[in-house]
Amino acid sequence: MAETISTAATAPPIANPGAAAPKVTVRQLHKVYGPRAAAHVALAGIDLTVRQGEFLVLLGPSGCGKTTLLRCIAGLEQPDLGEIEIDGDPVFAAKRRLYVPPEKRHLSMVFQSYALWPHMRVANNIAYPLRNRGIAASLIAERVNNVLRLVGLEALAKNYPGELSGGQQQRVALARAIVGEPGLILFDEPLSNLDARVRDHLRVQLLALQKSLAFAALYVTHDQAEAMALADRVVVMNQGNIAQIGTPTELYHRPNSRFVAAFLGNPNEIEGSVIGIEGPYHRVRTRIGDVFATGDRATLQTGTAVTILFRPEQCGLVAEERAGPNRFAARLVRSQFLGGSVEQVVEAGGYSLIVRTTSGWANEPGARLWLVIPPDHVFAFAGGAAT
Amino acid sequence: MIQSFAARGTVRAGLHAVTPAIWATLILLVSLLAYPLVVAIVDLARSSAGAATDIDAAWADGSLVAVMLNTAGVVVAATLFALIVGLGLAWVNERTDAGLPILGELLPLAPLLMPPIAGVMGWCVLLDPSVGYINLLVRNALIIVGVELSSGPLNIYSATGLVSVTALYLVPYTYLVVSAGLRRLDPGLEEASRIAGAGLARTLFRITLPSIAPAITAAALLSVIGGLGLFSVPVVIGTGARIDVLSVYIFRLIQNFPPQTGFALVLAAGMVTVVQAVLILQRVLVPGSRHAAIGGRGQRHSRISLGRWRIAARLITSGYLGATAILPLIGLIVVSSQSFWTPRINWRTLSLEQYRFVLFENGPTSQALINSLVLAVVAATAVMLIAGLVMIRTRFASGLARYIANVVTSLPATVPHTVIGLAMLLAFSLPPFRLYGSTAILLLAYVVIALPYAGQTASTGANAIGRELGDASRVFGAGSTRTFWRILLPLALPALVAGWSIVFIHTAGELTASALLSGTANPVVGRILMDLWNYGSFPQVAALALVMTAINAVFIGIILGVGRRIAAG
Repeated sequence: MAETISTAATAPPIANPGAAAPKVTVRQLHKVYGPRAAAHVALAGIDLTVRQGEFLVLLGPSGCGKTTLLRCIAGLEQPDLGEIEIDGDPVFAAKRRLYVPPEKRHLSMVFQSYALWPHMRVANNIAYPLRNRGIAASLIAERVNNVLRLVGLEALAKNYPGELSGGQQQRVALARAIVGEPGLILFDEPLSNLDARVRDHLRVQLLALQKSLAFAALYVTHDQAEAMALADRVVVMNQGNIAQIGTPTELYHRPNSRFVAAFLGNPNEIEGSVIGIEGPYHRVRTRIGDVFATGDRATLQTGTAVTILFRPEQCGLVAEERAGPNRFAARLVRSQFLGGSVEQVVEAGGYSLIVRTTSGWANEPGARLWLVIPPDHVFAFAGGAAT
Repeated sequence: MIQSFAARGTVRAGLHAVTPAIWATLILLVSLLAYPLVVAIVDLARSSAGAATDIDAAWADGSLVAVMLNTAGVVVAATLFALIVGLGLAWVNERTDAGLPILGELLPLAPLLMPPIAGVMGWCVLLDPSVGYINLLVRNALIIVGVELSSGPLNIYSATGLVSVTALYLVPYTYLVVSAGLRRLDPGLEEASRIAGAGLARTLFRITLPSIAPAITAAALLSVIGGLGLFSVPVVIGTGARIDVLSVYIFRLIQNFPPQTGFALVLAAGMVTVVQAVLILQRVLVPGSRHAAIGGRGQRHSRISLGRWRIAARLITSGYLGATAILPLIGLIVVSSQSFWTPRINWRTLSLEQYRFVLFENGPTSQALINSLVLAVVAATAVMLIAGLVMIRTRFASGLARYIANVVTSLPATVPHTVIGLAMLLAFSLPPFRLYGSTAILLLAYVVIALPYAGQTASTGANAIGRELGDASRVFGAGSTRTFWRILLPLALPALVAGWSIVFIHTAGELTASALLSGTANPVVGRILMDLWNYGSFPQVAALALVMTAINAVFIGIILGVGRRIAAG
């Protein structure tokens, strides 16, 4: 029976399947909270497109506006300015004073708190979206059974949500979200209340479901690992703006700003200034030595004060001195065994830097070592170090 | 940026729109409060000349001064008494190992078991100087040691009796506020004090009590307001002791022929002024921020071990429960089984005759019982439905509707019930309404009186519902009306049922406003109990009071059951 659902969902339920209309289009969305004097800008003019069947993740620190954006698309919040279209149909347009309430937007959502109704049994929770559409009872029962099987909870249909574990509750929430075969599902940090093992398991299950049912997913999270694992594309948000949009690999290897680089992995930061451009790299003078770094040719010129960033997992420590670019004398301060990797703290040029390696336990604190940073993995951005 | 501000509010009518039905309900509630208020103020202005002569006369013969002094004395003394008892009970229950888990639930409910006037009468039955049962027991015991008394030794019809029983009815106010304050206080503060070398008593007086000073002040002020408006205690005991207080005095002014309405209104206005002054005082005295609620939520902390004092503490707390509920109940049961109230209990003539009489044979009592029960059901259902609808639907709504909802549901709590009764009497007795002597006027008064309880429980119930539960319903295709009926109302239902039960109990035994609004044409239980008592039909009083007690007990059971379900789920 699972095929029924997946085939039905593969064929887009919208009226004009041939048209390549994006699933969601957001134009110049503004949203401000609070009184004029103490206003908090949640969305400062967002432009965004969610493609049919794509898994798009909104990533950013708390307060960056990602949840506000999601709730605006759901219809749970009203933006102050801008437009939102779903399947090419406008659902919000400030200029025309158009606002379509959430119940008429034909999408579904998985909430951070699960938002299962405690007074309804699992089966009734899942049936609710179908009942609101006036679907025949017999058909509802069949569809509910199908999705329960899909998420592996057939045995719990008659239970109340309060009797389920957190992971089970979130799977019920997922079942409720897919039962109506929506073309778009919004996810508001759905895994953040679960412990690590359940979270990993559900993440895999969620991705498999999304690929087989082919719905477009718009997924909010502040967890960069989760974003990387799930996304076709990631939208990094910062203070109500979009900082960068791209595939996980693009963002990881080509961050366009210091914010994005810093948010994806806790990089080491060193201040310096550009002293020249050599081949594809900028040469940056720092207290640990001259560092070759990747940077924007247009803005970073000789003399520009910059901060260079590199990630702990992308540099190495070697014992023997050898010639080559980006090798710096360092002294091991301490090593911490983390199971799969070793985190080593080294001191170089007065900076305390973190290096993550898969081996290297052999060195004693105080050992003289060489820090190796491949120039492709060093990013230079204008400005001083963050405090 | 400027543009975005300008555009704000243009598409507002969206997700949590306030429907015309909600606005209509709010307007109705506002009129129900505003109309009597306006009529009372107009009447006050119109009758001021007549009132002046009445006031001069009362001033000249000293009765007015006496009433003022009596009221102040009784309220202040009873508040002090209630504060000490409430503090003690709350501390024992919240902070020591002598606390009984069930006590916290039962304490605030115990005084609800009997209609207030019945509880007072129960105490009179026990402590009447000549035929009170406790006095009889004491006298018989004294005979054994050779002392013979013809009356006493205890006399409830005295200042002490009046203050003590008043305090008994004020303890729930002080207990609830103080125990809530203690519950919010991080026990770590006390533990730190103990570790710093302070003993139990030093910690209590230097740390615990100062930390909850705002709660104590609030409890005291609430108790003063409650004491000012209390009617059933002074109308029975104060009358017997010839100590008149303000609430009873106003009642007499209206009952006199011709009624001295102007005078009564002046006194009522004075009462309201005092209460509002007390409330303003509270805001000034308790800035709130300095003693902001502090952590400790949900954590289990070790309780203070009382050692051998533990049993004593438990005896005292059970003693309070006994005093408010069980002892007067026993007194009434004994009287109700006799054909007249006699010091010698004739065990052979025990019978249920009185119950048969008040329930089936005596027209006024059975009519009063029916009226009270029907009114209580209708008032509780109406007020909880209104409060539930308004509170749930305005929770996320625009500022104005929410503000009005909060004002109309909290305002009546700051007006003594005697004043509410008086204002309703003036507003609805005359044309165009002419409701005097009807059950409708009682219903209106009961709804106004019950609004604060109803609003409080409904908003507690509404606020306990996670925001995303309603959001999810909207996203999954249900409109706001369907979301209300299918999701929000069922989730708030336990709180609404508990609120319904409390409103039912308060309404079925209401006396303060009923004393003014109920008569032979529209008898209710509270008024009939008072009249029967004044005629000396004690066994009938007792039987009718016990019937009400049995009904109340059922609803207290419901409240407890629902409370557990809320706690469990």
